[in-house]
Parts: sequence; C-alpha cells; structure tokens
Amino acid sequence: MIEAGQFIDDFKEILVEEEDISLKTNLKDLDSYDSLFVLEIIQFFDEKYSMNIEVQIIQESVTLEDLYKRSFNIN
Amino acid sequence: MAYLKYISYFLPENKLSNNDLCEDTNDFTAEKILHKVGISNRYRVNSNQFSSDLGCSAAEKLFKEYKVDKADIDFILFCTQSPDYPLPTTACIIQNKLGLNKNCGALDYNLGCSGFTYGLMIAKSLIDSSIANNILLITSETYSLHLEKSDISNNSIFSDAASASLITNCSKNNILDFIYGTDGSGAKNLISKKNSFKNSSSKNSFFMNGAEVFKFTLFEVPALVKKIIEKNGLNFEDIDLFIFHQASKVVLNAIKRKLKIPDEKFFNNIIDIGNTVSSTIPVALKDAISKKKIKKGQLVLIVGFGVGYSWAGTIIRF
Repeated sequence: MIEAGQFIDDFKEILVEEEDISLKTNLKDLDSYDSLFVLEIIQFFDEKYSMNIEVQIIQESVTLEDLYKRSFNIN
Repeated sequence: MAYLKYISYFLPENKLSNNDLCEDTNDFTAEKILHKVGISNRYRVNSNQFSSDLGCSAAEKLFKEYKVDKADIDFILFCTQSPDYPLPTTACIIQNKLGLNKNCGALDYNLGCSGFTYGLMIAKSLIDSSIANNILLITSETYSLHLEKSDISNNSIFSDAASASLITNCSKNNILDFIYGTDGSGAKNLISKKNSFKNSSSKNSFFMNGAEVFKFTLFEVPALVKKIIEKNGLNFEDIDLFIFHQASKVVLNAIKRKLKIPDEKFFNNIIDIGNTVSSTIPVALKDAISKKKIKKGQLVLIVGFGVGYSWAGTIIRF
C-alpha cells in the first residue's frame, strides 16, 4: 500500500515540474498535461509500482486524488 | 538455408515537416511535435503514387544497388495495408511491373508493424521447405491515404515508404528462430474503416487508441524480447544491437528503459523518417549498416509489433 504523501512525491519526481501539487490538483491544470500524458502515467505506474493501470481509470480521474484512490482501490 | 542478403528502401520525394503540419492549426506547435513524438519529417506519396509504385521503386533500387538479376527471383512477398485495389493481388501487379518471371510465386499479406519480421518468417519457411530460392520481400505502406488531413496526431507519426529485401537459399543461415503472436482483442484500438465492406463511412475512418496501444507495447514487447533471446539459447548481453519497430519516441524510450538497453546497443532513426509501419525495421537495418553500427558476425535482435495486435521477432546474425 502506497501512502498518499509518497504517491504525490513519486508523481512529482517523475511526471510534473510543479512544486505545489496536492491530492486536490486537477490533472488537466498540470503544465505537462496533453494527449501523451496518459502514456506517461501508464509508464509511471509500471515503473514505480509494477502496476498495469487501466486506461479508463486515468481518463476518468479528474484530480490526483481520484487517480490515487482508484488505482489503489481506496474507498 | 535462409539468408537475409540485401536490403534497400525507397522514400517518396514529398517531405512533410512539423511546420507544414501546424500550418492550419493553433493546437500544436512544431517544437511540441518534435519534443513529444520525436519526429521532424515524414514522407508523403504524390497523388499518383500507390503502394505498388513505392514497392517497385524499392525493388528497382535493390536490383541496381546490389546488381541482383531479377530473373533469379522466384517468389514475391508483398506486405501492405494499403493495396492498390482490393483485388487483384498487388504482388501480381508488381511481378508484371518489375518484369519478373512468370514462374514466380506472388502473394500479398496484410500486416502492419509486424509485417517485416513476419515476411522473414514466411521467406525462411519457403526456403527451408525447398519451395523457393530467391525471395523478394517488399513492405510498402501509404498510411497517409488512410488519414484525414485534420488528424494532426496521426499525421505527425505515420510516414509513407517501402523496403525491398532479398532472402536467398544459402549454405548458411543468418535468420535465427522466431517468436510470434496475436491478440485480436486489440483490433479495435488501431483500425481504418475507410472503403471497407463492413463500414464504408469515410469520416473518422482511421482510429488509434494511443493509450491502449502503448500499454500493449509496454507489457508485451519486453517479455517478447526475453523469449526471443531464450529461444535462441542466448543471453541478453549477447545481443549487439536492438532494432525495434520505430513506433514513436515515447514507445521506443519506454521499451529501452524497461529492458535497460544501453545507448550503444539501441538503434533509433525515427526522427528523420517517421513511422513507416512495416518498413521501419528494414529501413533501420539498412541505416544501421550504412552508419557502421552493425559489424560482421554481430547479432541484431529485431521486433515488429502493433496493429492487430500482431507481433513477431527474431535475431539476425550479420
């Protein structure tokens, strides 16, 4: 189980340049967000957590919290 | 035994730059396309150029470059997903255009990014079963004809080109064992419905679910590489050069990172040519040979993967 704080740190380290992201951050507001960002998230989950994430989860996630909770099945 | 002897390729004259692609849109910039897709230029056929024309041009280059006697060719394998017509077989048109013997076998097969490695597999089988001795393997694609002009994403990736290779019966074999596979559940993720019987709609006819295709690549290709090496009784370190289907920068980098392939063993020429579908591997092989990245006796692992989903790979001993 990955803690939320660790998830944000990992996400920042690999995927985004912004310093001030939180679980409430809207994914579409990130500078690096574009059509290829989904691919980068798929690769991030594979590399960091050896997870084969569903594309639908990424596409339906509005905030970083959505992505975190749905990926790790947290209610 | 089957020996991959010569490779040539042909690119149409029209170059499409990133600036050209961005001419009518504010949604993309040339710099962003280069940064994200890793391609500067791609090639486009003229309005009177089709897959048989590109294929014949590549074959004529091969004959001239290596002084191949076309009378020796006894089989044509033609790989395309953009044939001149639904029928007749484009390979038959090519037999006539090239002036090859009438005792020459000719067949088309419909595969995309796995097309070259599949072609080698078929050629090897035809030679090893004493059916043919000199096989002309042509890959030729005009994916631009499947695309809408407004589809900048796919237009930025795909490029028109053809390759021609000669596989001959020889006392030694340089095409090692293959691993291949299919997962038709991925058919919907990369599909062109243009001029098809099942759906003749001309709108939004080409569709690629980039995320799903990327996932397929990320999880299938590294495992495939390990299986190819294992099947040939080799170790990862024994491979001198890895040449993957040149899909896009993000795909190539993901495979390289996942397999931890060192820079000097990874060949990539997508920036100046683009994704030429079934021709990316022979084009890369030819360029790698020209740039002296492949030396005599070296082992080069090649893997084609994509539309279908379909995949196949082997090792060539140079």
